[in-house]
Amino acid sequence: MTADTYSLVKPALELRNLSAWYGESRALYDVSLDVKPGGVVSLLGRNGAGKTTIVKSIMGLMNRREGSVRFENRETIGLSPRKIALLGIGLVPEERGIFGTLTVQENLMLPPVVRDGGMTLERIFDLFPNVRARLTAAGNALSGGEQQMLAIARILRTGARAILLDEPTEGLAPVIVQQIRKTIESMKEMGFTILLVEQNFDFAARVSDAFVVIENGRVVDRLEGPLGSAEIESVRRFLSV
Amino acid sequence: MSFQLLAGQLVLGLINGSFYALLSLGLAIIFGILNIANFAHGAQYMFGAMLAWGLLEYAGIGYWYALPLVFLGAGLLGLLTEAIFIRRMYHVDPLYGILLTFGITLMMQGVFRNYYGVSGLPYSVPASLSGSWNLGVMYLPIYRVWVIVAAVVICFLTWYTIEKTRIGANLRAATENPTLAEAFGLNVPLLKAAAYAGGVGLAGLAGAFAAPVYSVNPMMGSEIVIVAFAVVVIGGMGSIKGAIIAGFSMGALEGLAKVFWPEFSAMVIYIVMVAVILYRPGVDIFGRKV
Ligand SMILES: Nc1ncnc2c1ncn2[C@@H]1O[C@H](COP(=O)(O)OP(=O)(O)OP(=O)(O)O)[C@@H](O)[C@H]1O
Ligand SMILES: [Mg+2]
Repeated sequence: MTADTYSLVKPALELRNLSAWYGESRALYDVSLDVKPGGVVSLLGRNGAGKTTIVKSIMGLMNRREGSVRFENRETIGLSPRKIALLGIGLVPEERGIFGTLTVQENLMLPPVVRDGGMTLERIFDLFPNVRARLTAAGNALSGGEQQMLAIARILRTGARAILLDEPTEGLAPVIVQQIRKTIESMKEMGFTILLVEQNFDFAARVSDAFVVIENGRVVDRLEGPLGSAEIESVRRFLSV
Repeated sequence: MSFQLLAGQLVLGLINGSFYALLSLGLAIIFGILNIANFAHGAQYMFGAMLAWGLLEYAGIGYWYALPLVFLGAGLLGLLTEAIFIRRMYHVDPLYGILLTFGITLMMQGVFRNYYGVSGLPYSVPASLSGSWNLGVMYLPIYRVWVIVAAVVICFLTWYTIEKTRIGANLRAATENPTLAEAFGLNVPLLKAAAYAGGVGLAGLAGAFAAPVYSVNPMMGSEIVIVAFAVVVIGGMGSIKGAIIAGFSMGALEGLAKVFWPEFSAMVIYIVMVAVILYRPGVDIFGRKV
């Protein structure tokens, strides 16, 4: 897809000149990016580049943020995290965010349904048989892979149409990574709008339509997929320096 | 030492333990979810007793109707207190919360003392619970048995609500990670207000249970709140189950101490508390980290 056809579609998620601060220290500088409806965009960048900060800013979790974040044409920059979640943006946070004092079932049922059309439990259990098998276990008794499955499953239930996935494959075994890739591919087929943070570029390259490279809190490059081998090489070199 | 004496003190201890458990339970909920050490808890307990007394005195509403009304009335007091005062403490040093709730205690005591003095107001045992059972070895006042049974049931229901229901899961999630809970769409400020109201409701209910057994007066909560805090520490700060079990067992321990070491009975709970702080800080009575 060329940049021109891409821009014909009104984006579902639209960031314009987004800036954010941790206390006095500025973490984001005028970040602008679009995710079209049903698209998968990957944020790439080295440790500490600001990827998680972008996710947190979209979710309203930064104490100070400026600029514009529009979701389905609605400005959300002044809204609380709760209001943003209820608009239909689902978060699969860094470190998975499983509540250890809740059971797997309680974790799964925790986020309120925000819209019709969320996945049924049956469907979720088909996608993640491990989650069904461990329903009564405590959240903190799960393996990393199981926690990641649960973190994704719990958002699919809510009917959220846009999903922010922050490093879903971090620290997981290759088989699990593959299962998560399949899940993201089927989510894409179902029409979810996805913003994916991923250090694993090979993983990101397989599932994404577009890539935004972040460095020191700024957008330093934008690429439309599928990438040519020269582009892949240059991104990989950038990320590994 | 006679068996009668032992059994008698144990029952008395369990009665006190019922009040410790009900009060510590509310304190543990409030501490766990709001991170507020609610020193107003004793005054809120006193409010419950005063409200039960007032309902009878001014409206002719007897004990059985007073119980739910006091729970609701104290819960409403909790909602107002949270909205006006407590809410402002969430983002400041917890020390301010202690000072504020202590100030609320003094204000409430002052108001009630102004109108009702410090001598006790009479509240008699309801007719349906008066009298005693003759167990052969001792006479067991029915009202005391009722208080113990009611406290056990209420503690169980509260534990069940928090550990096993949907709303309880929301409360636990908001306790463990409020930011993330909000990011999933939970209304954390509402959950906090509800937790505070529930804790105050329990304190008020304990006050209504206390009205026929202890003297109803504006100062009645000032000592028991300290014991209740010691019990919360012993049960593991913020642990619900820990507060309940520590409440009943500390009451029983105090009763036994009256038989075996009468000179220590008034301080035995504090001795346990100091030992817990010195040797097992940050751990609940089941050995889990809190
Ligand atoms: N809570 C915080 N307080 C202060 N500074 C922070 C905080 N969290 C992150 N930062 C800083 O903000 C910058 C961006 O961090 P961020 O977590 O967004 O990076 P990231 O791209 O997600 O990195 P990683 O790949 O390691 O997850 C870093 O310099 C980091 O040190
Ligand atoms: Mg990150």
